[in-house]
Amino acid sequence: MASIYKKAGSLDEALELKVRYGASGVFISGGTDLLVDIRNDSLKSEPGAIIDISDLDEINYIRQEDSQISIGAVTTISDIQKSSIVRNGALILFKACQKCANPLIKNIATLGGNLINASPAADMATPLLALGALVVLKSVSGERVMPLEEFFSGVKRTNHGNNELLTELRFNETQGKRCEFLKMGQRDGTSIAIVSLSLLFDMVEGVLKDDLKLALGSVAPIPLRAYRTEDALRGVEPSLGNIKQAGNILEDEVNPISDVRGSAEYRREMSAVLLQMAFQNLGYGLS
Amino acid sequence: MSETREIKVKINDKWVTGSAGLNTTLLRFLRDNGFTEVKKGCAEGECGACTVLFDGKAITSCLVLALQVDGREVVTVRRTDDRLLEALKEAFVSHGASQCGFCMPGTIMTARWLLVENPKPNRDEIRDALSGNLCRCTGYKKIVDAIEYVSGDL
Repeated sequence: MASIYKKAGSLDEALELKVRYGASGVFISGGTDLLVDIRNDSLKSEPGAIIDISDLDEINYIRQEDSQISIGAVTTISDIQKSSIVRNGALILFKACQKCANPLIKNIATLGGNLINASPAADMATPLLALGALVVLKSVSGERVMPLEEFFSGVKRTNHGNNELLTELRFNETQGKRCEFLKMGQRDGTSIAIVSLSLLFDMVEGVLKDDLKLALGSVAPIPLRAYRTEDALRGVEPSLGNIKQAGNILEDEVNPISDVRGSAEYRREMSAVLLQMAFQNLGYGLS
Repeated sequence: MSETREIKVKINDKWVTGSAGLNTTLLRFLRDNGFTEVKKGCAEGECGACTVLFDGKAITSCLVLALQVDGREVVTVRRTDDRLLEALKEAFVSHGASQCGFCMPGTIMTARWLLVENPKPNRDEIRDALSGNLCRCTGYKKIVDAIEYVSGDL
């Protein structure tokens, strides 16, 4: 186990501590993933220091300026679920919060933690991919902003530097767009997704507009933007036939594994089923 | 050598001092200091048996480092000077909401949190709030009944 615990009093102090301990310094906020790893002794390497960032108000906020919404990395999922900014401007994220974990976990688990843990099943990842979110990474040498899609690099791996801390997610509001978040798990509360799906779109003259976004969880090494399926849906009528055709492409586009929760084949089929359900829940493709 | 240090936690309105290391969860700290009403079930956030209030919010104490709670406040089901908590305990008894009782210390704390957040929840909202507390005896109906009964008086 780690040798030192440090509570950072400010964001600057947290970043300096990270430089001091380098790769062996591990940030903790909600701890809902890290504590399970500690308990199971499943950390890749023993951390030299645990740097507590849970009390940093500097990265605990939900703000809106003009059409841009920004959320600090240590904001809890409960606070995001309760936020009127999120409910009004990013309904898809609100819907995902409703389906995520359970209230006891959501009261401490943070947005940044859910993303940096980089599980392919992370419930916050697909709505944010659909929103086209940007991640803000800070270090003592400055700030970097990158699209969330480029942030995930593999199972439990992200493209951030050793000295960088994920501090914020930002995206444009999507007021008025249609959206659905679906999660197939073994039960409603506290389950890890077998497949999850975020769909966000607008309509113009009876066809799907070009800015349609589709992202899926638990069907690839990383939370997946389904570009080919999106292409198949752009500019077409959301009829049952078109949705089924897009579903065939989606079954080919996903790249799932078989594990304790479901087989690859099942996940492939359910990806298309969830796509159809998402449209139908919103009143499209019913016949 | 892992660091161990003295921490002070306000538990049920009294300051408690004890030692905590880097792998001491809040659950372990509470039980080691005599608060054995906080139950250890799965120890990974699935079952809710170890639920306590941490700065007013219901959380699973198995997923929090004790060191993170230094100087903060925790409430367990043992507290007796909280009217809402007492009303819930009485309602759980009068509604037969408990059988083996193992999940009760956690379930009641979740209910206590819920009724502060949302004093008039409907049955779906109660069930949703309880989605992190597993009970293998009662089938939940009587638990929901008891919480609904208490909310009627708020």
